[in-house]
Amino acid sequence: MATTSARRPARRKAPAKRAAPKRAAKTATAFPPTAHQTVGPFFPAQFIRPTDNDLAGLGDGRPRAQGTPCVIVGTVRDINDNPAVNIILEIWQANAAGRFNHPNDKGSAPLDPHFTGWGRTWTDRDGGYRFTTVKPGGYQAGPRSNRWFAPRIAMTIVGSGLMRPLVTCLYFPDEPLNDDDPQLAAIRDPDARRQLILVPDHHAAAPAGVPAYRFDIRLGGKLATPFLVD
Amino acid sequence: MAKRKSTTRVAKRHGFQPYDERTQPLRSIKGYANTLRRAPTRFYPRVVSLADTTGPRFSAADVLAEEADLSRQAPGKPRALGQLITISGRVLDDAGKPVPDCLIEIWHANASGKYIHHNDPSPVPEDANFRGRGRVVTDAEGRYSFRTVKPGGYAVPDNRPGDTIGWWRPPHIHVSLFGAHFAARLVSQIFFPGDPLNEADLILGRIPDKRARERLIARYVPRTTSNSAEGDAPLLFAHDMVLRGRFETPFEAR
Repeated sequence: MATTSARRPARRKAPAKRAAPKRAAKTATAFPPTAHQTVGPFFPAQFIRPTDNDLAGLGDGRPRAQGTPCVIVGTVRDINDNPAVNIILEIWQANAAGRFNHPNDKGSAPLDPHFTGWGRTWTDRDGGYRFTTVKPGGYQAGPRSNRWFAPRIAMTIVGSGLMRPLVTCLYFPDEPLNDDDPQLAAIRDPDARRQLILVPDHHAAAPAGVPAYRFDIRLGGKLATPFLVD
Repeated sequence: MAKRKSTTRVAKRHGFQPYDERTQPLRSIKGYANTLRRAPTRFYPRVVSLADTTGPRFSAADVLAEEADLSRQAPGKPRALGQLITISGRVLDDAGKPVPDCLIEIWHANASGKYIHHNDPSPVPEDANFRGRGRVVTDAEGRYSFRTVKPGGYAVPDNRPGDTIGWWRPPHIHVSLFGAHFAARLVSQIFFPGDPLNEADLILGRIPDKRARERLIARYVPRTTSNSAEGDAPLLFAHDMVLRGRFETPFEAR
């Protein structure tokens, strides 16, 4: 088979600016996914309930989720370092035992009836946001795999001017599983890997005994948050 | 590139593949400043795991029946101005199978082209009877239906240097869907057939593939019965949406 690859012309480096291809690939399925469009600036505020950013149930009268609660705060900024207001952030994660509340997770770790794993909020006039959640457990790459994914929080970002949702994930500091996490390993740039790790924040407002972390998001520019190919 | 290949393989096994770029919009638009200020620049390979192939689940209990009707504030309240319509269809996975229990959120401008939102500075009139937003959850066959009034188009202040005229958005409905897993999340817009503004829309026009653009345009459905159950006659539009991945989840007891 070496001869086949030898005959193949050398791959050309992609030009910086490519003309957009006019047609989709012929191999596309009979049911190609619907195209994304920007969420625009008018997403109804009523769709985001005040408790949607409290996954841990720390608010008054709410059932507490199991595990170690934590607060995650941050600011979303644009390429000019100005606060990005009205950005909608959605998170999804396993519970403290490393189990996702979904039938596709066939793992044996216990479910927590008081933890859905999903949350949503949007940025205020200073670009700030806040979630209260519990630290998720790590999880196996597959039922028979001995590779593990480190505790992480998946995040989807939509907002005016974002033509497609942005996808990233948040990791916890001082977590031994980070060293072997397949997603972190796929990001070769050590600076980019570091940007995905939450930073302890001792100044953020948090209930007594609840650790707070910071995850600032830069949408573009040289210091941009690493996003994952979608 | 070996890393990228293995990512794709894992994605296939878990039931979804990266989007075909030609069917998705380019990220920056001259004339829409937020796309330039917020244009993401750094992308890294995605390693698909359970965090992508699981996701939040919703059910009919999460919404009220009246949330399917945007044409008035509540049942029995007066109707908003404008052409009464229904927009209905199915949510499918990329194998063409229905996606049940999919939460669909929609919102759009009133018949004059004004949103119910503090961010909308437009001087066109508000309509106190217009609800402006709606939510439904798809049934076992992936079906959904909303009743509303047809939105108006509206002028967008232009950010292109030297251009003071601005540009127009065609009438459209914003739509947000939560499918079977986190990677199936879709935020899109629904356009109306035959509108001359569709062709020139900077946002719809950013999708390179013509057929992908056409798939965002609803279909007009000629009536087969004279009146709806309520004695009025909305114009009917049909619109199916396809979420990435396969919906193979056997339903477990809640």
